[in-house]
Amino acid sequence: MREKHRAAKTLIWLTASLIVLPLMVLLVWCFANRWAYPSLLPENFSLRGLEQVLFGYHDMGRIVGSSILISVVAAVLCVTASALAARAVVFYDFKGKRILEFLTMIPVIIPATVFGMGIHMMFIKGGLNHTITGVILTHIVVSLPYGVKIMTDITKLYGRNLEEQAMVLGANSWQSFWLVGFPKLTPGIASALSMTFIISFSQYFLTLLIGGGRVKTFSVVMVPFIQSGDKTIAANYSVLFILITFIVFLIFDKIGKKARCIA
Amino acid sequence: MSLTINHLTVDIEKTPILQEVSLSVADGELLSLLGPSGCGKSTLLKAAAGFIEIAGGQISAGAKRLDHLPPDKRGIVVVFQDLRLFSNMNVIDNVAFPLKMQGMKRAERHEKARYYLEKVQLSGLERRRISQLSGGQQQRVALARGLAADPNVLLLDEPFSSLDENLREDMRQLLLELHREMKNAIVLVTHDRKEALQLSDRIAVMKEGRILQCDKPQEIYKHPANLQIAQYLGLGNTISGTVSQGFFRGDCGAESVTFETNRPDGAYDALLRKEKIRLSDQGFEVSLLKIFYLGDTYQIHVKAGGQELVFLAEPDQVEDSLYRKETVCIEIDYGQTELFNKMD
Repeated sequence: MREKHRAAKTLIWLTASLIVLPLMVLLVWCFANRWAYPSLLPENFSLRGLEQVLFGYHDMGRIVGSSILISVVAAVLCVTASALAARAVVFYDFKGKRILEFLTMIPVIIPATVFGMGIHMMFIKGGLNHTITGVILTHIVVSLPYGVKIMTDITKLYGRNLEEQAMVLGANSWQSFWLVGFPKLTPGIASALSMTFIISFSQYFLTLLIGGGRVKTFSVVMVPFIQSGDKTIAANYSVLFILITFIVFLIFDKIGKKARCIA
Repeated sequence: MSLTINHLTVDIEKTPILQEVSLSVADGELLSLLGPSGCGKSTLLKAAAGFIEIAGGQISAGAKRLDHLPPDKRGIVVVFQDLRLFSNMNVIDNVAFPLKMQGMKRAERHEKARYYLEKVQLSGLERRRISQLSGGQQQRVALARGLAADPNVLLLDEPFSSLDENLREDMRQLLLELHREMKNAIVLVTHDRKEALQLSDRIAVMKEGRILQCDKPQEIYKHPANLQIAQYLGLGNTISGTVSQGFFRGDCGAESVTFETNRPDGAYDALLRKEKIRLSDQGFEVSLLKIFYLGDTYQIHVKAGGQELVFLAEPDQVEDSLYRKETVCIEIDYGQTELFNKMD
């Protein structure tokens, strides 16, 4: 039994290190100036990477702010649509239900580039090309399968039992959903919000294609630096990216926990 | 009339579950719906509450038709088998929930909730989370919440089935007391015949989507309408046979059960109640098949009249030596043995 414990522990440490070690290397790269193989540590250190990220663009703060806002809006809208679709699919039987379920999963099957080309043309015709609205809409579409899957699972888990109980006790449809059904969905909602946020926040190709040069998000700014080969700057941007998503995840999680206890 | 159900028909995915079911519950009455699993009793409950579409029939409370009303407007409260307590609220908010839906202010509804919690002997637990309560306590919160809604009719769907025997007995007593005090009409769905006999003003016995008999417990016990009801209530032994020229004879050949009767000739099933058979030294010998110890009685299986018969014996009639015997002596009282036409 103790051997099984030790084996399990070793496995966990191994897996954790696969995530933590590269992160640690990344952190060192943030402050490295030149770090050539096979040196174990950088030859010299500097803060130029940090300077580039913080002061390189004169409106970096605004870019970060609006990127977060775009992704939060996309996440909220996507999760709302997902929750409604999940409720329809789980609680009701209607013609075309199977087709609807399949349609919500298509963005996972069709590659983003293919989808991007198609929707690019549609948006040009519809006047949504190079707009923030257009960018948000494409982010919603690619995140939809994940949102719908998460919300369907959690809606199925609790079903309508509690809402039925609330109704016989005098609650109308809205009250029974909001006071009793919704609090049970909050873990799924927090999870879906985080998932769709990161999908939106890390979109490069689609944002570039649909936004043109006009919609500048954090990923759009960051990816060229990563492609440039300058590992110092790339590392700084990456760490900032991780930091932002981590904080947003924490906020969604806190909101989720609070929302469970209303009413 | 608190609730009247007329010729109710319910189909689920094209299978008929309820077939022309008619039932009524008077104000202040406790009616049990008794039947085996799958007989449709839970479906009847859900249709009355408004969760299932009905294919035909009417549901009314007095003169008011209920079938077109949503569940929150029917004046019918259900306590489900899985309790369905709201885990995002504490105990008192759960009990006060129906009062909040009626628009009561916080102070007033909390005071009323405390009153109902006291009735179910849960005073002091107002601020607890649901997950911190034991099974029996959760049951009582669900009951208090149902009563707090002060419904026209309270429907209880096998409410005590997940509790151990002692707790079930306590809850039954509690329910009876509350019923006497509150005087709501109550419909209790159960598969436990002892529970139905103990608690009900009337029992409706259901099988395969139909109501077989609806009457006072004593009446059903003394005069079951057909063999199925008698068998479901475990009233006694079924003997298949024929009546010919004033005598009933069982189908099992020469040693079959035989007795006098004034029923017309034909094929019948006889109900030989357990109380009519007893151990007796003056009786006749039969093969002993099994003895089961039940604590306050013994259940004895013998082979008589060509078939297996079951009856009970008092502890002081049974000695340990009986277990080793191959035969016992029994007496059977055939007076007033019920005969049911085979057509039923």
